[in-house]
Amino acid sequence: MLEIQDLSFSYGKKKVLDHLSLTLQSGEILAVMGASGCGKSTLLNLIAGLRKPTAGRILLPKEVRISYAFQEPRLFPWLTVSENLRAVLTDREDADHRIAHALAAVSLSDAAELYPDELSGGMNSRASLARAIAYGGNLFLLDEPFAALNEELRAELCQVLRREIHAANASAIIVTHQLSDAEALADRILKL
Amino acid sequence: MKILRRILRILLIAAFWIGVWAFASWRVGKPLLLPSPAAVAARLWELMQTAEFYRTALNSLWNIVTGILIAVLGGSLLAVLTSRIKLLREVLLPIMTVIKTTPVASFIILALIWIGAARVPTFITVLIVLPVVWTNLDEGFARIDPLLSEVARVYQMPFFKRLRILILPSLKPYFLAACRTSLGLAWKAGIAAEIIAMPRAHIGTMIGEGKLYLMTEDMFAWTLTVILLSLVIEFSFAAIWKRLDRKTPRKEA
Repeated sequence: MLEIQDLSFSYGKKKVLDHLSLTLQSGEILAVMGASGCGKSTLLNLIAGLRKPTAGRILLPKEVRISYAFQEPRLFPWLTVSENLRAVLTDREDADHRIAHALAAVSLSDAAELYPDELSGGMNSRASLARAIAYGGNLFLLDEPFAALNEELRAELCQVLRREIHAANASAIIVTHQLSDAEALADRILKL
Repeated sequence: MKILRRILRILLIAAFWIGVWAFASWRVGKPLLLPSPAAVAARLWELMQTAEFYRTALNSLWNIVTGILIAVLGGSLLAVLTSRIKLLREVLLPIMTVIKTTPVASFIILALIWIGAARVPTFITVLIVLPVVWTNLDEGFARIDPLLSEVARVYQMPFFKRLRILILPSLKPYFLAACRTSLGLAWKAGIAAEIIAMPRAHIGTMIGEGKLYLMTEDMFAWTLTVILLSLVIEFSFAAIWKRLDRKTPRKEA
């Protein structure tokens, strides 16, 4: 699904990734852990094509569709939760079904018509996750998706995400600080 | 009830200022310098009985509204181009600064020589409003949230969807501010242009003639007409905007 060869990235003179190589198999879930500032989010941004590597290569299949749950929820503030989900869907006939399914998966069905500023921090994070699920990519990039959630919800969402990723026959890279999240969700853990 | 109270409040404030005007006129005691509100209202009523009044008002209204529309369209188009082509922005910036800082009277006199009296008011309105629209929208484009742009990019939103979901809602407050500022400026610049250029049957021409022939009541009556027309345009704009806003996202960035 994904092959990274000798990847390096620097912010000016500060090197955050240095000759990283890894392979992600189809259907595999990889957890990336490491200290703050070690380049975990940068790695996801590089894979998503939002940054250009200083050196090295990222090989992705041409038909890849990336479902990205960013570290911040990044919802459009002028759209309701359901409109935010619809915004990333093409006008497919099953859009309504996908939105309803994704919101139910993260227990946000009741908040569908609310605006982001009417939601708590945790609900915003879940809405961002719902958007990634609704989009139905074949590569999930999840940047600390449970950061604003309590223990109980984290455990529940770990199960939900694992189920959704497998149901979509997708691969995933999840950045997390919590070893318990990594163990519950991932098939493999990479320490940066 | 809330609306009635608001109307009453506006009427009371208006009555206060008309009272100040009436008092000042009584104290000066020379209608040639400062006519009373009653005399001006009577003269305006007299003017309103003639077909010429409406023709004159419509001529000015047409010039200024046309100028605003051309400026808004032109300014928006330029802002789109400068958001894409940075070099064009650098090329345009000095000329926009020159236009904004040069006295409007200088442009009016030059335009009078170049294009003749009839076209001067519209031309001047465009010249004064366009930089305001461009500057606001250029700022709006620069302030589109890069994090939301990344969301649009990652989720491969097609251009028209990106326009509808991200760009237009982000620009909305900047466009609104530009339009509000432009409406006031357009009337000031357009009428000033008419006073100097004196095209036939325009409000500014009537104000200019009022000054020439010391018809102070006429000057005040026509100025009052400008204020009323300007308010009508502003309220119409606010109403249209409110209507459109109901169909577009309610929240701003």
